[in-house]
Amino acid sequence: MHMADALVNPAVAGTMYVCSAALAGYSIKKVKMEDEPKKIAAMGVMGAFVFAAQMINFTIPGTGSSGHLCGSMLLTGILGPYAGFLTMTGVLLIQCLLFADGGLLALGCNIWNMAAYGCFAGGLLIWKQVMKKGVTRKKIISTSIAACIVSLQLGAFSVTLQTLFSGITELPFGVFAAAMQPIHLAIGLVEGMITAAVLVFVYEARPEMLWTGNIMECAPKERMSFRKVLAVLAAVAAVTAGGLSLFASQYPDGLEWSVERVAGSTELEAEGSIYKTAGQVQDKTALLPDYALPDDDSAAGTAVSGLAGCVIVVAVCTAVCYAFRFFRRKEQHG
Amino acid sequence: MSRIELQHLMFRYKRQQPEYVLKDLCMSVEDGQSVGIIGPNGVGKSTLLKILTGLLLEYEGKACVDGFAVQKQNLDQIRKKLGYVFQDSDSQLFMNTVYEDVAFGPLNYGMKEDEVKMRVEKALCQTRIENLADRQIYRLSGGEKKLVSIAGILAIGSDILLMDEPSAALDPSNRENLIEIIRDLKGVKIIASHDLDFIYDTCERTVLLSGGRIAFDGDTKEVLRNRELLEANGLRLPLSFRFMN
Amino acid sequence: MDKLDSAIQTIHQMEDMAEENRFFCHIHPLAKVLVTLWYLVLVMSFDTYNLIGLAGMSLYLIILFVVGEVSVKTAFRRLRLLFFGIFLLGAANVIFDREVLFRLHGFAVTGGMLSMLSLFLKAGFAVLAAYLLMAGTTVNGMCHALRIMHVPGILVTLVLLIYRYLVLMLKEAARMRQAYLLRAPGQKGVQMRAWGSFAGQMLLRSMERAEQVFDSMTLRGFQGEFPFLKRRWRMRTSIVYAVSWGIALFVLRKFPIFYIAGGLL
Repeated sequence: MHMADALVNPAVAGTMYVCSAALAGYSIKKVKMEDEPKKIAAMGVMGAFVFAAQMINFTIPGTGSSGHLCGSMLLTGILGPYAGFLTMTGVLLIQCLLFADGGLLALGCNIWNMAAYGCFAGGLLIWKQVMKKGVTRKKIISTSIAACIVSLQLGAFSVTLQTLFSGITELPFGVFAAAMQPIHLAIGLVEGMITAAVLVFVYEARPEMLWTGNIMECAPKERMSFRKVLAVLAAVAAVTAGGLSLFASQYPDGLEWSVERVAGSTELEAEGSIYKTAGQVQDKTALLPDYALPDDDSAAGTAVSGLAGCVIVVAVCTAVCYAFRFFRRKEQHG
Repeated sequence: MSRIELQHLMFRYKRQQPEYVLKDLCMSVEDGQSVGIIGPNGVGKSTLLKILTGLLLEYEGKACVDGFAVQKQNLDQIRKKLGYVFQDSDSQLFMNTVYEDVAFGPLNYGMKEDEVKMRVEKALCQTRIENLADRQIYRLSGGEKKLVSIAGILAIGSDILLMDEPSAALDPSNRENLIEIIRDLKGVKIIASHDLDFIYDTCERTVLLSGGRIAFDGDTKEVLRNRELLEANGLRLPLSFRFMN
Repeated sequence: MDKLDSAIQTIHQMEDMAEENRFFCHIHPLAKVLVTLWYLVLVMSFDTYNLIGLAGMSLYLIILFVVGEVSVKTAFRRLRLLFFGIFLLGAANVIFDREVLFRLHGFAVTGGMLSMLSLFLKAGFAVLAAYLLMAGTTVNGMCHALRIMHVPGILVTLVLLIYRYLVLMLKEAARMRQAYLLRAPGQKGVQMRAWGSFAGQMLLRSMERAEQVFDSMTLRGFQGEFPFLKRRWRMRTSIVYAVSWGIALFVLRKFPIFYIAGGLL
């Protein structure tokens, strides 16, 4: 479910970064309040564990295919939602940096889609409410599965929405959602079962290790306010993403829009001869002006000059770089 | 003043558990001594070391390091003087490169980078691993990891070295190397192990723990030759002595 | 090859590249992170149909690949699956957007084709830019940069710890899987009966290890945050690097360099 950079536009990416950062900030505050210095080591090692465990194939009986465990749900079951969320954030960051799973810009989206729902919707709202009155084997199994399905559904839906708001793909919303949701229903079911099996094992071997929310019981007021925060955040995310995408559709180029705000006009005032030429050239060769593309051969013809320019500049640039490298090496050896 | 002083030290893991792991230990260690602590599995060797480091504070009796009682308010002072080498090096080495890991302690104690650099270089030199400075930790062999762990403690400036099974999982040549390095180190060394040959090569004094008490405390050669005493405690004569009688 | 093994190999590869003594490695990670983010924002802000302008952004990648002496072949081999995925997604555009925009010597070019190409270029550029960033920067360096950017210390420490224990865990998982498969011939993955205990055992051991790790951290004076060593960064070069790329990329984004070059012919 890792989203690539190309699927989101900067406005959506920025919004999701802000939302995820807000959640992370809040989680850090909560983890610090728990005041368990040992937790940082547990979070680090558990993060590495989840990373590795997600690469183990678990055979799904009767199908021949295999599933993986759900990281955010497992982390929540052991560390609690706040520490779990931070750990998952760390895992996603490393996956993005080292394994190119999900892009740097889309990291905010990925944290939101894959960590936030699992830890807060699955963990805080479902797992904790059920486990409050005591833990049993059956409860662990049913809750894990339910929480995984819910959080994956929410996550998949978010992916669809974020892609839609970004306006990158031409895939109609209905088709995209119809493809995403059922697949993730199945994945959620399998991931939930595997996660449940692991949590049941932990429960039977070391029951005290499971997180049941007891630490938080002492601060009931905080809990209430957190739900409000979550609701507000969700609303803010929805509204800003919607609003920004409206803007984005009116001003297809986010950068252009901000430049306009700064400079006071859509295009920077072009002065000097080169810019003039540039302007003329652009007028003449307006190969692909925004959306309004001429449907005739002459436009295609002017495209050639642009393409030729592209080839030449790239070639010259590459040659210069190789020359630079050549002389640098010579310098080093000589 | 003794560097380490234990008086009537008792310890049990939880208040509810009636069984004491350590029962009434009394001993003191003077400067420059190297002491082997031997005994069967589960006799409390590691527990004793952990009490000295302040990782287990709920003990009864008295434990002092350089005159400071091992208690929460003294831990900062004690931990600068005393370092603990874990049995599993991977638990101890958590930074990415050797240099960073050895510098971890000094940096935490707020030393300037120049001084940190000097200390790290000295520690790496003492453990003979100058060539590994920029190596990733996960690319080290078991023997190298052990030496890096020791260097990380030397860099803090500790001169009381506690080691838990330092020779476990080392091949013969690494083991030999480690013995030489330990011998060259100054200060107090306390080594918990059931590798009696290793103890024989590194310690002049040995304490045998049995059932939570000290069964023997004295010259290493004396205890290691005492077949009945060793066998009664689940240990065997070191190989070096086996064929001598 | 198995996922676990290939993950270990990837980590080693990236580390080796980042540690090599190349021009790129001496630039402060913060400068590299900022330039990369700036590049990504500019690339993504290109209009869907402005293909030639977008293609111009490849200059940044070309220069870094050549000057930084990063192997293009390795990059593509490592990222091939990703490119394939992007290709599939882009293909949807061709199917759903069939409006003919113009004809190139009789060949009808549809909006979907252009938007697919642009999606493909954007995705490829983004992936390669991130790859180049990591090819010259260690995870430690990255974390240092994050810390300067005021990412909370606890999160940075967490990332460092995860990264440090990652290889250890991957190796442990690989060993366990091997031991499992040796006793379960013909199975592709872990059987349902062992789902819980297989990962559960590993989890319990990890938690025990976490405790020891923490003990050893406190024994060496850990106060809640990892200290960073100031390394061999060349500060002046780094500033020049960041500023000049900042301007150059903006110029590439704003002015149709290729039309000017083509017009000069």
